[in-house]
Amino acid sequence: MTVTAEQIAAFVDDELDATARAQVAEAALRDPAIAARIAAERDLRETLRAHFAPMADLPVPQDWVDTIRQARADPVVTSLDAMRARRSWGRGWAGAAMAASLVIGVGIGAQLHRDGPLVAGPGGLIAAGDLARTLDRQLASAQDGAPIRILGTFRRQGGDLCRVFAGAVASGIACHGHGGWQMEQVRPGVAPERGAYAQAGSGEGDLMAAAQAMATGDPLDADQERTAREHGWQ
Amino acid sequence: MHPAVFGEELVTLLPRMRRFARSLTRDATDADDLCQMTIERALKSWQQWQGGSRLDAWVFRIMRNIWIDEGRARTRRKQTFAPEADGDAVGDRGDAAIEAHAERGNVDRAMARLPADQREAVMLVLVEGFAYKEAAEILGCPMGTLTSRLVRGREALLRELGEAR
Repeated sequence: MTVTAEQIAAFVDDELDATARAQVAEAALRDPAIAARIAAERDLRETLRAHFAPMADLPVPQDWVDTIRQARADPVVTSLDAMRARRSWGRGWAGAAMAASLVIGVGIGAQLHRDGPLVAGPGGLIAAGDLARTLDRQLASAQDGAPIRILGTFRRQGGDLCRVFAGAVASGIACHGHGGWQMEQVRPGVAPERGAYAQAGSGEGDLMAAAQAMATGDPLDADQERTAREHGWQ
Repeated sequence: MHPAVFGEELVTLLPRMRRFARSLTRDATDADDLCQMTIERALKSWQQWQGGSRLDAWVFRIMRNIWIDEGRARTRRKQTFAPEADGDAVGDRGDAAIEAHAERGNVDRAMARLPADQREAVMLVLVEGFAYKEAAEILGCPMGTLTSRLVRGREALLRELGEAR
């Protein structure tokens, strides 16, 4: 059998399946010219690798590194875009840093990204996007598998309705007023897919304690919550 | 992926980005310009990167597309492989390395003589170690096109370097 140049190249580059590999190897055993070509191709590969390897060890301009690190530290522009792209609250331990950076960075860029989960309003942070929709619609009694979970709904002193939420990126307490959900508390999120159950539990415990301190009376039960939703959380 | 993680992964790719940029542009200054444009583009559109696919392949594809869009006119002026790039890569060498240095020059010359499409195929597969499928995606061409460029590029290099030895 004859072996093509493509097959020899693919053999050297480890791009052949087992059967095709065996065929080329067998041809090389029978035909010294093929064996020599394989050896030459391997040499060429090694020569090129060795030639270009030092270039990958050279230091790069520091301002490139600075540009990248500054951009990634611009929390609103990058992280809200990311969350919008995922159409959910992201995932992973991104949450802790992101929630913190949202609070710090929101003054600069939030106005530019109205579809993100939080925007800057006159009195502080207001829920937007998926978070706003969750707070508007989702009932604590019916939320299997939802990316953001509602842990409870309560009234605070003054009568505003507040909801405790937990998501992968951030958790917190939002109270309805001034035409939206105002953030009263923002905490790092939880990462359920990594099995961080202990962290999730303790974080939620803190939030529930904060909620109890704010609340007047008991949390709303399922019927009360549904009624509150029908009345636009007034 | 968190932007901070993305940023650090991009930082670790910078030396390889620069190396690929130099093979595309054959000029150290043009290569650095190309790297900067690629960094800006990658930072702007990083959420389009599909986590799970290789970040290096995604960034190289961005770089190569920018080069196609903006670089062709400039590269026609270039006749030789960049001496600056070669100087950086070679560094200080003792007498014992003279022969190796000569070979370095041969490799650069042989690479410079390749048509651009063969050179980038050789760089991506033989130097950067991309699989054929990944290299074809970076170049936006079918696999068959990639493999034929690769074979032709290799044959030319084997001829040139074989004679030079």
